[in-house]
Amino acid sequence: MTAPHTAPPGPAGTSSRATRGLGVLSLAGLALLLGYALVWSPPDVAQKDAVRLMYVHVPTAILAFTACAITTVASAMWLRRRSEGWWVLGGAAAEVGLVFTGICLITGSIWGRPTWGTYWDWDPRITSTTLLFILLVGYLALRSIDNEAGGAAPRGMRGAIVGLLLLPNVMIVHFSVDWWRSLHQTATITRLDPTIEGTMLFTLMLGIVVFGLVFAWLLIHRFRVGWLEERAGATGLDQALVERRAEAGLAAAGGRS
Amino acid sequence: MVAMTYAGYVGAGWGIALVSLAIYALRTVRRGRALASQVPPEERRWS
Repeated sequence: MTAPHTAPPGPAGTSSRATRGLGVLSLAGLALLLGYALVWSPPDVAQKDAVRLMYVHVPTAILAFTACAITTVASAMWLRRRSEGWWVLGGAAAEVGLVFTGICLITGSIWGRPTWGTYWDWDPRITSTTLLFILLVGYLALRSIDNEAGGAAPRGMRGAIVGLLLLPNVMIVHFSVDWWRSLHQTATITRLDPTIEGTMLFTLMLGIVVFGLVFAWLLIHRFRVGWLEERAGATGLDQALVERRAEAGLAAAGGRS
Repeated sequence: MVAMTYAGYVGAGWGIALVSLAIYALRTVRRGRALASQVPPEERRWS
């Protein structure tokens, strides 16, 4: 077991001046977003106030897809360069992406009840997003297994290969509403003439920016946690080697006396 | 003030999202603090 370093100077965790600033900005943005999403933006003509769920559902979906893209790029870079930073980034983005995908699925399900009359349907968009969630769980599980296997398996190889599949799956999720018949609406804001406007469009854009800040804050902290995990593992190994050598030295000295 | 329609759904959706993010953020910060005590300060490059 590694002896803890007593009273270490420097940061006491994963925060820094930049992340503290980002955190304050995120909280202020969330307060403003809640005002727009729940009070100042008008209800929809057809969906009435259920449309207010769009301001959390759509941003979390976009950021879940962003996280998957980051994991795929990090997996590809890790396979190419085998650098620790890409390995840690892939895991951090996948874990944050799992949280955002989960929130996207839950808020979508809740939104579906008043608008479609059901919490769940075997709809292409919902089903492919659920598969994305399962793929993220599988990716993180494989990384964990590879970590525990140590030298028995090429570290992270299987996880990285699954990581490569995330972005293609995101493309399937995105285009599923165009390729197959779906309950889910087609693209709303990615087209050149968005089908919403005014305060509703502004609130949606604000939601994407604010949840983007939260996502960045979480990703930075989770990356640093991953980095510390790697360093703690290396420090623990070094410490065990020192202790083992000391024990061997004592045994040899005892044998000579 | 006009009552919000579907207030339960809207409240549940936003509540679950914000509480989930808060719990995950707290858990991540705590993990970082616990690990930081096992790692020499020079390894924490973000200081």
